[in-house]
Formats: sequence, structure tokens, C-alpha cells
Amino acid sequence: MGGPEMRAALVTQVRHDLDRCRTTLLTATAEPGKARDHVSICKAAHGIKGLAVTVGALALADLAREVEKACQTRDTAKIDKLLARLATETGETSTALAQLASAD
Amino acid sequence: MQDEPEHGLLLVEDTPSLQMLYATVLRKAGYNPMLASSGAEALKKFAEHHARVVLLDLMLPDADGLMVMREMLELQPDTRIIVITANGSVTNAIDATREGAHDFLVKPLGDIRMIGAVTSAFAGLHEDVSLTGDDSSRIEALDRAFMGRSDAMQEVHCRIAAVAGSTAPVFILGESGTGKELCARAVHLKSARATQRFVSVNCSASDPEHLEIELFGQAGQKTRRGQVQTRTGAIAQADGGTLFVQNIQDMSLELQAAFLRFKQRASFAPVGDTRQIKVDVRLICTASRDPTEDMRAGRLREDLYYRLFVIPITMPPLRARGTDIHLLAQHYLAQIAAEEGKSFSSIAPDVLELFLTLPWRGNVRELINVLRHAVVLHDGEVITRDMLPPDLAPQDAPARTAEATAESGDPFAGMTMAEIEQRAITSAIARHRGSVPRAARELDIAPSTIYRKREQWDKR
Repeated sequence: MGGPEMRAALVTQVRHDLDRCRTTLLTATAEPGKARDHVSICKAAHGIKGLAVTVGALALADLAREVEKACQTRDTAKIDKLLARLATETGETSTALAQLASAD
Repeated sequence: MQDEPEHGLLLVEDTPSLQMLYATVLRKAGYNPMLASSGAEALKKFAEHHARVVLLDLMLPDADGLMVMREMLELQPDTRIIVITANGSVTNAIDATREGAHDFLVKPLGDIRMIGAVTSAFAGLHEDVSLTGDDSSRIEALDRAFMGRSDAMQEVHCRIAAVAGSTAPVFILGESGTGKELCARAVHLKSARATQRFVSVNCSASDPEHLEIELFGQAGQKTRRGQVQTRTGAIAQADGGTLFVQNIQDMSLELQAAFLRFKQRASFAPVGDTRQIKVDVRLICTASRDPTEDMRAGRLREDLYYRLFVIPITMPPLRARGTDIHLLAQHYLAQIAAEEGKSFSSIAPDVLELFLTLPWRGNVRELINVLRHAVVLHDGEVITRDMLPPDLAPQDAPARTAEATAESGDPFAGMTMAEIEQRAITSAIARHRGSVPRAARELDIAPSTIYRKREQWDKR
């Protein structure tokens, strides 16, 4: 798929998209006194899932799928349990991609 | 990159990196998709440019992908929409196929699966998919795909050279998979019309009403949303160039009468209009079975047949092309190995010998499938006999079913119920050029049933 420049541009864009989804997750979670925005969380989790399967980050994809499903069923206990982990693992995957790209 | 609406492909994906990735794969395959990142943008570009094939993500930021699909199908019912869904949301995709989606893809999208789905969706639509590049490189690319040193192919090349300069209609005969379309493109590219459009219509791919609109176009129609839609038909698009009509015998008798009038007068009226439009179009037609049989059976008008059957070219079956099989096998092996990222570069002598004895009922298409099977499932540099599909049978050792058929005259003799069902379904899909929803309609079953059956066959 394309040359090194194309790959680098693609990795940069994937990282940017993952970071955007992560910001959405954190924003939707961290506003005190406000009801949690399940729709935004669900969309962000769905976005992370699509990106994760594409780059082969299957554990992250599974986690995002669980969060998305929990949002759809309004399983708040499960969302509470998984949300922070999803945000952390999304950040870690983005960092790992940056390291892979710099080693390429 | 500038959008090129004539390619008729619209990619709707809201995640920028995935959009970038899919667009790169499509461009590498010669497509130049229009891009949209939201439902609203998708509908706007769709209405403006009349995309014929749409790759549509079902989860969009501003709209439900299914709603977008419904609107597109309302505006242009013969659009082929391939929905994209994330793993775990396949039920949504199956729902989409029930509502008219042509196919679905599950993320992560494999390059070959995606290109295969897009190519299959375009097959049968009257799109111009001329290869990119200047004329000489186009002819060179075509020649590579149309290679052959056998007497049978030399005769075809001579016939093409002889007819290219004429404007007389050409009628190409041959079994499925023998390269009738490549032959038609060769006639076009070697003619004085090479710089004009080559427009293809498949009469087997559409019902009579849609085929009439595909061919003749349609005057302005008001949609429920109040927009006025005008469709330019294939004949008008081919003005100055070549119109390639596949499986002419599958055109309804009523439409054959209208087509005959167009042939006689070199003019036509779009559906819903009375104005006659003059055109200069060269016709190339194909039939996958003997057209004289269809004429005798009353399925093909005699007057139309004699208007079109002016210069026949018969594409030889692969089994009659001798060592051309080796040239083709080497050519496609290199291509498939590159696509699959494998290091295969040659074919063992005993495999090449075997290839000369096989019946190749699916012709070049079957050869490509056999090679792809070997490349995908194995590693190495040389294709060996043990890498081939186990059911390949030489001509002197016909398959069990063929023997039984010959003995009893019954096409189903010797077959299990499951085999008969699989044959019925795969034949229906082939008749509809890969469209599962259309095949399902013909068989009066749900598309999801076909998808489930396919999964079962794959697991066998």
C-alpha cells in the first residue's frame, strides 16, 4: 500500500482520529454535574472499533465493541467499568503507532 | 485530487484515515472516487453527479446510513450500493441488503475484497471504465490482458485488425469467461473512435424497465423530494464512440423493437420524451449462447439479428488455446502474487502439463481462480500440484456428475440435494453479474439466506 510517505501520512491520520475519539470519550465522561452523553460515547467507541480493526489492534477493538454495546443497552455499570480503560488503551495504541512509524 | 464524476463511484466514510485508506486502494485499482464524509455531503454529491456505485459506511455522524441509502435508491433505483459495516454489526448489513444494497463489506476491508465488490457492482452498468493513460499505454495494457499465440487467438487478432477500421456492427460469440469484453475493447481501441467513449450495457443485469432507461435515458422526472432528475442513457453517452451491448438475447422483445428502430434510424427518443436525438454510435454485441437458437425460439427478433450479426468474431474457449494457457497462467500468477504480497514466480512443469488437459469450463476466469486459490493458501516460489484445488479434473477424467449427466441426460443426475441447491444459487448470482439481492429475488428467497449458505460452503 503506497510508499513510505503514504504510510507515514496514513499513520498520522489514524493517530489523529484515535486522539479525537479519545477526547470525545473524556469530554463525555468528565463533565461533573452533567448527565453522561451516551450517544457521543457510543459514536466514539464505534469510531475506535473501526480504526482498531483496520490497524490490527484487536484487543482495543474488542474493548470498544463492549463499550458500544453497553451504551446501546444503557448498561451504566459496565460503561463505568470500561470507559477509563478504553480511553487509556486508545491513547496507548496511538503512542505505539507513533513508535512503529518512527522505526519504519 | 479532483473528483471525476464520470467514474461514477462515491465513497462515503466519515473517519478521515479510513477514507484516505480506502480511496488509496481504489485509486491504485484505477478508480477515482468522489469522497463524502457525512450523509448530507453524500446526498449532495450523489444528486449532482449521479454516482452509479456507492461505498457507504452505515454509521455516519449526521445520519443513519440506511436512511441515506433509501434516499439514494429513491433518486436513482439502479444505483449499486455497497454498505460498509464494522465487525459485530453484520445484522445491519443484512438488513441493508434486504432494502436493496448490492453487497456489504465488513471492516477491516481487505483490498481484494473491496476492489472485487466495486468491480462486480460496476459490471453490467453502462459506465465508461476506460483505462487511464494515453492511447498507446491503454492499448499495451489491453494487449497484455488479451495475449495469445495460438492459431485460434491469431485468427481473433487478425479479425479485430480487419474490422477495427469499419463502422459495421460486430457480434462477438463465445463461452462465459473467454474475454468477449476484452475483444470488444480491442476493436474500440484500434478503431478511429478510440479517443471517444466505450459504453457498456449488460442486458442480463437489469429488468426490462430499467434496461430501457439505461439504454435510452429518461426525460426530466420530478422526485418525491421535488428535484428534477434527468438520466442520460448509454446510447447518448456513446455518441461518437462505441456501444457494447452484452447478452443481447436477454433484451425483452418490446425493447428489441425499440432498439431496432434506433439501429435503423440512428436516432432515439429518451423515455418520457418524443424528441428524436441523432447519434453516431458503433455497435458491438455479445451473446453467451447461440443467437440463432434464440431466434428460432422466438426470443430474438430475426430483423434485429440480421442488423447486428454483420461481422462475427468467435472467442475460443481456453481448452482450445493450447500453450496460451501457460502464457496466461504466468501473467496472472505474477499479478496475483503481487496483489497478495507473496513471492510465487513460476509454475512447476507437471502443473503446466496438467493445465493443458483440463476442460476449463469457466475459461480464463476459472484459471485465475485456481491460481488465486494456490497463492492465497500457500507460500513459496513455485506453484506445485499439491497447492491446486483438489477437485480439478483433467478432460479424460470427467467429474462424477458429468458422467452421470451424459449417461442419463438429466443435468441433476448424480448430484446431492445440497449440490443442486448450490448450483442453482451460484448460477442465479452469475446470471445477475454478482448481485445477491437480484439473485435472491429471482429465486424467491431472502438475500440473507444466500449469505448464510455461502458461509456454509466456505466452511466445507
